[in-house]
Amino acid sequence: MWKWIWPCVHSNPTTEGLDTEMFDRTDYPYTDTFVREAIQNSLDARLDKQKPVTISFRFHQEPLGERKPFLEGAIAQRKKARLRVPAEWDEGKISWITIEDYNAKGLSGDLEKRSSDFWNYWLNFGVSNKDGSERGGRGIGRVTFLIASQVQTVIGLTRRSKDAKTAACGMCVLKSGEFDGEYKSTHTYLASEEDNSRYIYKLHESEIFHRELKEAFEFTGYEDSGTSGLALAIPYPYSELNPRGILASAIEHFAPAIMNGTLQVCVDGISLNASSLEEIANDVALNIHSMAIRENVERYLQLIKEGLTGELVEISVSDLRNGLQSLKDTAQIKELQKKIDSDELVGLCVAFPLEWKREVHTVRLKTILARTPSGFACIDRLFREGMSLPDVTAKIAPGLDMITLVDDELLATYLNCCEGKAHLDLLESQMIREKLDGYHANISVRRFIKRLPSDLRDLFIPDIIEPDANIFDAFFSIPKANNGNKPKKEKDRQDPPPPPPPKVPAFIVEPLPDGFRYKANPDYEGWPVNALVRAAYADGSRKPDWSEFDFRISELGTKHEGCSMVINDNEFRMSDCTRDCSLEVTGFDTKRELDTRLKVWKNAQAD
Amino acid sequence: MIYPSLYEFTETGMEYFDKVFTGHIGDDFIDPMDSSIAQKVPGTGSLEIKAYATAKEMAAAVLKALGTNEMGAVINNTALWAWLTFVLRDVVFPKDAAGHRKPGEVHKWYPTKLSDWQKGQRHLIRMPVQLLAELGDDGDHLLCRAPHIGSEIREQLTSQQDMFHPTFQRAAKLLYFDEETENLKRGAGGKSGGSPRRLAKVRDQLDVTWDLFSLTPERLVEILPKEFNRFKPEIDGQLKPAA
Amino acid sequence: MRRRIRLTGRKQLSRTSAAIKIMELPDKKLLTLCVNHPDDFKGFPKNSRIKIKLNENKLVEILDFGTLDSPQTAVEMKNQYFSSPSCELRIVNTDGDKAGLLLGSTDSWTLNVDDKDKSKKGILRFLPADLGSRTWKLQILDDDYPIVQINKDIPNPSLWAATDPVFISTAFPAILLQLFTDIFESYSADPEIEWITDWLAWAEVIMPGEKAPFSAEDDKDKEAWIEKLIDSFAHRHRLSQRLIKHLDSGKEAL
Repeated sequence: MWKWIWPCVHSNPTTEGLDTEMFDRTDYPYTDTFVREAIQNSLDARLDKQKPVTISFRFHQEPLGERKPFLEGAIAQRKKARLRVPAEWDEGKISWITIEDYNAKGLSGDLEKRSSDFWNYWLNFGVSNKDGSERGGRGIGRVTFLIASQVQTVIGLTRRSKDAKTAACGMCVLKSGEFDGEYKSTHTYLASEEDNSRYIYKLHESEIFHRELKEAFEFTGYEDSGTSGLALAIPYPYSELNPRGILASAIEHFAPAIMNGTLQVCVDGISLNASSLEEIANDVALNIHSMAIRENVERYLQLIKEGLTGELVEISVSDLRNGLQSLKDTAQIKELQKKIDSDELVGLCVAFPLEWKREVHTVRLKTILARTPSGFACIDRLFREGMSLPDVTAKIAPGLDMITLVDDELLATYLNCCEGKAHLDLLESQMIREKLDGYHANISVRRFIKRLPSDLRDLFIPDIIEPDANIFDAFFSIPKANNGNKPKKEKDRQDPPPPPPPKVPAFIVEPLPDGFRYKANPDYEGWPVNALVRAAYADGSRKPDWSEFDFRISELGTKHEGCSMVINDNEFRMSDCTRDCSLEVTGFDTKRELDTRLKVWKNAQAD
Repeated sequence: MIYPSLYEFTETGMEYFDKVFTGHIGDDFIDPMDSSIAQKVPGTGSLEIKAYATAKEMAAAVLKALGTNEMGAVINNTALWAWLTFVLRDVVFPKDAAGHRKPGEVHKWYPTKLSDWQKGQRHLIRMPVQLLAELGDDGDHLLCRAPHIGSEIREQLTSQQDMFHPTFQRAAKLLYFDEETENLKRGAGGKSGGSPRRLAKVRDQLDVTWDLFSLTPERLVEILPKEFNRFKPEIDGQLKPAA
Repeated sequence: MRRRIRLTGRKQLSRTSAAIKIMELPDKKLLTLCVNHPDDFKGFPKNSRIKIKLNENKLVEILDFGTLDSPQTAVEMKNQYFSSPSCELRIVNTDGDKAGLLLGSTDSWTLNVDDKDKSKKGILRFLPADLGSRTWKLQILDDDYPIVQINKDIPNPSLWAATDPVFISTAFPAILLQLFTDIFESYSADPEIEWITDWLAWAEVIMPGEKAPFSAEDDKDKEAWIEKLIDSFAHRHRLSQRLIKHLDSGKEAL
């Protein structure tokens, strides 16, 4: 058994819990946060800027076997602290996720200094390695990984680019309290002993340890290839993390970085890169969180591609306070408005000043605008060096899709300082003003960028020239049936044209006492088709979520015929459905109600 | 420190309060009994500032100090709650080892009006007081932790106003509160099946098919699905599973 | 295709089964209920309870209207913060081990006072215009609906005018004052011009039973009527409360 050290707290204060609030958001699924943190850390640690950084996520499930010696110590301490341990541990089983990056620097810094990057990562929470010159810092990423594990444990093995040294450590969150006559701290560490003179730990450093750790958790390793990076193992991850979700999150939040070759993402052997991006995006589109992107992922990628490779018209802004007002009604903008009206994509390069260390630089960002296709939600995203800041959007985005790309290094560094811990938005707190010291605490650029989605739309949405009776109708309107006019005479009324005949649906739904049955409609002629059925318990919202704790399909009764079937979470994917097709699912909780959704499409294999 | 009565900040006091918590000025800028920035609230009694072990203890002290003032009458008195936040700042926002105070998210220290429930319910003093006033001991599971600890269970189980119903909270207490240890049961802080987070979600689902306000707490616990079995109290030595 | 599987046997009721309205009185708000289609409730036990759930910005109130065989027509709303809550009608079983089960319920919909008919006709028009330093201006025409001109230099002027709490709470009362003062000065009786007729119909909804006093000899009666109309409008749309909430939220952002 490899030692875990659960130190005493001595006379230092303790803080319980993992500051999880920033992740407790209903507007972002946890998978998005997990993927964003993992990829952002690796991007920030990129070594050779001429090559992409690769990050690999792999899901494993095995008997405990050789992994047991690396976790036994921590699990025993969790039990002592009366914390939950998954039943699988006692059953001799384990699942885990590995996250490995390549062409990355690894966890660098002096292994004997508490304030180094290496020990900041493991010991100094709330600290990031961020200064004005270098991005990154893995500030909250490790908390994300701890939260991902049912035993709040992460084990890491790094090979560092600077000195080619390999180092490994692990941490597990416990709780403080008196145990065996000692007052113990909140965390335990995979290490050989405490080094109290340096306020760190002496790590397990033997070659045997590194080799066995690598083999146990199936790390690819770095020694053979002579490369560097950081490999993490997250034992007993929550099942909401899954390969499709990770691919979808990577596409939603990092598509520009993938497209321009900065980033490659591998998930269980599926390689997401510039050439496979479109195909994989279509495949996992339904897993994308943002509705606007989910329902039109091809368009999303098209806009990004245009931003990266298309021709751009430069517009200059000198006075940031006035924003784009001075450009309104200019000939250049009117010309571009016409292009938008004819459904063309318009690419802009917006140039403006940014002062850094007393010198004024001209920085640039790129924006692609296009009219939103009818019936679709507006796409509205800003990317800083390939990563999206999903909260930098227009409050109302009527009718125009917009993608903004910030790749200018100086501007990107500035914006990185303005991002909150979760890198979702551009903020303006006291702490951020302090970070902008080199920029003389200039927040006007942040405000300009934050307003840009609204201001650009305002610039291109044509002026209203006819009086509009709908703007105030929430306050000043009357029902149309009671407008004071006399009703039309009978002979003046014209019969409306007959409605078109309703489309024949491919499937009929039958409720069952504890489930449902979808079966082929005998009146439908368009066989074969593919179909996707999703089920979730209704929760009063328009689109109820499913959780594995609601039901697992493996625990329900399912029967299907006339098609081939793949089941994933709460989805039944039926291929090559014929007129004999049916799907029956039973065993649901009869105290709740089910919300089922069916999507049917063609391109089936069989004739 | 004992304050002989409660106060509410004046407009100037509110400005200073804001600046203290956004780090623009130091604590010592405010004398909470200075009449130029704070006025006594009539009918209130004394309040001792000490290291309360639980949010319930702190809430009880504040509730008692409200004296003859009904909770409903003062709940939206922003200036009063701001004053309480200031005087109790070391209790709810203790300084770290380096001597820095990090109040964090604004709605935890600034008493946003409860017309915006989602923001208003996050206040670390007003919400415990409101919970104690409305639920009494039925809110023990929400108030058993130290005042400065943001409680996941409280955040999950008070996120909708209709969760303030005694039926729901008594049911939650039955599930998650250990009367013997006067603390939460093991596992009550997690995210997995049967957790408070899940209870909030399953409540939404059951609300589609049941009028939850009509049920007794025991009946509500009874109809919860099997993921909650590990928390359901034993009755006559048997777990009461979902029917 | 979306389909609900009602495993508990809940009946989906139509929102037209009953007419539900918010009625504002000087010192309270009532929720009123009138059953339109009794057949929709056939088959439910007579002692089932009728409940209406109101919901807005996570504030919730459930109002009990008694039983199917003895329903109440109006219940006072305790929650004063609702402005346009969503509303759901529920029929609740009270018998045996199924007590508390919803026998039937509607989908939620947004409750407005004049929610008789979904298709509305706007009677005040909007147009951005070059107004120099002026923010807004009311244009009253002889034979067409009045137009509020908004300074076109204001960003997103239509969105701003329709949603900005400062504009709504301060300009709308001024628009009403100017408009009705002009109507009373121009006409001594209902001129039966379409736009004026529509505005008078609108005023009737805001102040039921209070006909516009065209024939009043004393101008003070007309002024008082206009004042009362503005008060009713402000009360209905909680104008000062909107403004205060907006100012409070601006303070938090600092």
